[in-house]
Amino acid sequence: MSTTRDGRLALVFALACGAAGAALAEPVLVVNAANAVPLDDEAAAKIFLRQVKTFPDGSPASPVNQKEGSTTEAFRSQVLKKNAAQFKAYWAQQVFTGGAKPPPEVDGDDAVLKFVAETPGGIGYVDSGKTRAGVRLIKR
Amino acid sequence: MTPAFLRTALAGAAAACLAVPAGAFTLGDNDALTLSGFASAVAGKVLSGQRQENYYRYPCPCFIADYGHGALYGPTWQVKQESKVGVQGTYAITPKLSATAQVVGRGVDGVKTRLEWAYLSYDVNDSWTVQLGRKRLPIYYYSDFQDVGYAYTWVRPPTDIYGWEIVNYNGINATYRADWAGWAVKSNVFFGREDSRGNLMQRLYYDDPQNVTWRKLFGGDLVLTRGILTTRATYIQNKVDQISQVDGTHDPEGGKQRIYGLAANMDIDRWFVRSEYSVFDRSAYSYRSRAYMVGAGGRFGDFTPMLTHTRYRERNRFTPDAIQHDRGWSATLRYELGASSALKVQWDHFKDLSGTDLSYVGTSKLLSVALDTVF
Repeated sequence: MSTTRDGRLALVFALACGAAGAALAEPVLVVNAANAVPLDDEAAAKIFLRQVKTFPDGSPASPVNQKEGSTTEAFRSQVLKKNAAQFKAYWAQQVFTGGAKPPPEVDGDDAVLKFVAETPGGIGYVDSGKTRAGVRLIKR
Repeated sequence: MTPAFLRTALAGAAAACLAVPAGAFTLGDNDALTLSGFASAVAGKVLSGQRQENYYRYPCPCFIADYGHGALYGPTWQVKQESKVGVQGTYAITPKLSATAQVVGRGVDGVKTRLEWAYLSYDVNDSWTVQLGRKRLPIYYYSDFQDVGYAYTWVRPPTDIYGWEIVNYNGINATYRADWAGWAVKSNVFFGREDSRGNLMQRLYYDDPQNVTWRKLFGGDLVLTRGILTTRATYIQNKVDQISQVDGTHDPEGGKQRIYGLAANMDIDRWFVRSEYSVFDRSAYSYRSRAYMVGAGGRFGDFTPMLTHTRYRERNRFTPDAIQHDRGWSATLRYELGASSALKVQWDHFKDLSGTDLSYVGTSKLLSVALDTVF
């Protein structure tokens, strides 16, 4: 195999990976700027699935979901570890058995950031790169 | 499909039409009234079976699909046995206090719509919720959402485990939710009672209509979830009264029963395991039963295949030859149909190993097809 061919293959591979990376949204968790509680994906999942109503430090949590889209899809699979059908089935179980109530849904990154900035216990997820004053982004 | 069932289905569909434009299923906390619902159209046919003569009033070969509601399939295709429509309304009286009612119409029930759930719910604080009213009795892991086919992979939870005469209760319960060292904890305790006239399950065991009461009901469960694992442990106790509507005979009167259960579920990436073990101790008046099920499957895009094994066994020191004992295998394929519906095909093999004095349904094979939806 010639070095030129190896070089071409490497280029194709890099381009393919780059394209895949661009297609896959990278959701970032966002909380109110006054909230300094450390939070990993597992703790966040419990809040969004309403298995707990508080942050790990005991302060009340007000999660919001985003409307259907690539950010929501990525958040569901990466953080909640559920696909769309599993997510819907989970909430069907809760709703029809007097269990937890699903978090309200807002439309788009800006609406999430606004809610979180204005709500002390607010927590949401946005596409990476989006931010505004009054919020803290949590590195995942 | 009976006219009454058709009416229920239409009522459900009308409620769905009202609910869907409002985005009922995903309404936020601030909307006062939330309407939602679920429906299952299930068709089943026994492919082959040992028993040829009728089982009580039912033609055989036959297969019991839902003990709790007396659903039994015979040698011809039937849609009324397990098809159902449920509509639920929740009204938020204050942010902490809400009222919920859920009515379910069933083909097998001929169909009166029955109130499955009707309760007031009050969030005392971030950990405690108190509910008062009518609810499903949480005997097993799937009991309280057994009607919501969309929420699980099977056409129905394994019948070897899921089958007793009482499925609801009226009473009070308190639910506790918290995080214990990384485990999501949900615990529920309840007190109540249920009176069931013309009990649906006892149609499968008696010619005469039976009234069944479970009183002094007390129980609780503990559900622990962390990462890939969910476990549940439960204990329930109560007294059972059963009276024939025809001759007033009691069978039993005030017998005490204790119910113990364990369940463990695992979800590892695309793979999952479901398991449950249950003991019904009715030794005070006749018998003790043990049942388990274990199932495994995987998710491949819109397809979810699953295999399940079950076993049920009774012990009875008074009439050891009249015990019920059986084993089952099922193979299920679920296919996601759009955003909130699923199509399922299931093959069941029920092996009847009951005692010689119990003339039971016999070994049989069932094919069922279901369309489940939530709205």
